[in-house]
Amino acid sequence: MLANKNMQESIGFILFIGTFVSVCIAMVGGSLYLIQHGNETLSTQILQSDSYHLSIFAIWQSAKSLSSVGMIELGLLTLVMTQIVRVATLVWFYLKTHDYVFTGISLFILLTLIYSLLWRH
Amino acid sequence: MIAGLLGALTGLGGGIVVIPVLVLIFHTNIHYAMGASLISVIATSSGTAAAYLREGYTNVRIGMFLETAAVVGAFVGALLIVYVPINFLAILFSLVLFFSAYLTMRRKEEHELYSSSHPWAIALNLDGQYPSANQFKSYHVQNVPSALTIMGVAGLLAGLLGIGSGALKVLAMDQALRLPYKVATTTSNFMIGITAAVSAGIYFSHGFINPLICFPVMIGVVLGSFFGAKILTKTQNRSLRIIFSTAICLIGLQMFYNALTGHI
Repeated sequence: MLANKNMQESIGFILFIGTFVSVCIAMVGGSLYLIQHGNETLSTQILQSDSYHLSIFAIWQSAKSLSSVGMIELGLLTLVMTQIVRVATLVWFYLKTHDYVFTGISLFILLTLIYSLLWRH
Repeated sequence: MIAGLLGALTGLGGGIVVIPVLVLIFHTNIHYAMGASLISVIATSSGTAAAYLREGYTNVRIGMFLETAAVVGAFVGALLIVYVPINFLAILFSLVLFFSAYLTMRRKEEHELYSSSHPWAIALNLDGQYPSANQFKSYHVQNVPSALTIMGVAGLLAGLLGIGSGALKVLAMDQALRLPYKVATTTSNFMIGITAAVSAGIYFSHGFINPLICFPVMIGVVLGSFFGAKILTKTQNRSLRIIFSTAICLIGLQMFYNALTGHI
C-alpha cells in the first residue's frame, strides 16, 4: 500500500514537471516568434494548408538551432514524451513489485506509444 | 488571434470547445484544429491528473488495464483520418457534441453498493479504495468486458477527432464498472493523456500538428485551467448546465450544417 502511494506520487510529480517544462519551452518559443513576426497576421493560407510534415528528428534539429517555431515544436514534443516517461515508470514499478501481468500491460502501452511516435507514412 | 483564443478558452478546456472555435470562427482547417485540440487535451489532463493522483482517488490499475483497449482504438482512429472525408469528421464531431450535451444534462445517480466483483476484476486485482471523510472506503468492480469495449470505441473517437473522449471514458467506468463517480472521473483523467499521446504521434507525421496554431491554444487552455477555474464542470447549478448544453447543441448544429453545405 505504501509502495503504491509512492508510485502515485512519483507519477503525479512526473506529470506536473513534464507539463510545466513543456509549456515553458513552448512559451519561450512562442514569445520569440511574436518578437520576430509579431506584426504579421497569420495568413488564411497557413490556417488552411495541410502540409506540415514533421518527424521528431526534424523537430530536434530545428530546436537546436534555436528557431522559434522549432522551440514550440520541442515544447509540444516534450508534452508527448512526458506520457512516455510516466508509462515507463509504471513498467518499472510493476516489475519491481513482481506484478508481471501489469508489467506486460504497461509494456504494451509503452510500445504502442513509442511506435506511434516513430510511425511514418 | 491569440487574445481571442485566450478569451474564448478561459475556463473551457477540451476538444469540445477548441475544435469548433478554430473551425467556425478562425476558419482553420479541421485537421489542424484536431491537432491543436489533441495537444490542449494532453496539457490539461496531465496537469489535473497530477493533482488527483496525490489525492488518492485515481485507480491506476483500472486505468492501465482499460488503456490497452483505448490505445489500440486511438492508434487505429488516428490512422483512419486520412481515409475519411473531412465533412464526415465534422458530422461525427457534431454527433459527439449532441451526445456530450445529453450527458451534461443527465443527472448522476449514486449506485447501490456491490458485495462482490466481476471475475476478471478479481483476477487482475482491480478493486480499490478511495478517501472519504477521514477513512478509506472500499469498492468492487463490475462488468469489465463491456468497459473494455467502450474504451476501445472511446479511443477510436479520440484518435479520429482529436478529442479526449473523457465523457465516454467516464461513462464506461461509471455505468459498466460501477465505480464511485469521483474515482471514474479521476481515472478517466489519468488515461486521457496516454490515449491522446498515441494519436498525437501519428498526427505529427500526418502533419496535423501546426506549432503556430497549437501554441496559442495550449497557452490559452493551460492559463484557462489555472485561473478560469472549471466553473462549468464543477457547478451543480442546473440552469447553467442547461445553458451550456444548449450552446453545445447549437455549435453541433452549426458544424453539421457547415459539413453538409461543404463549408468545412
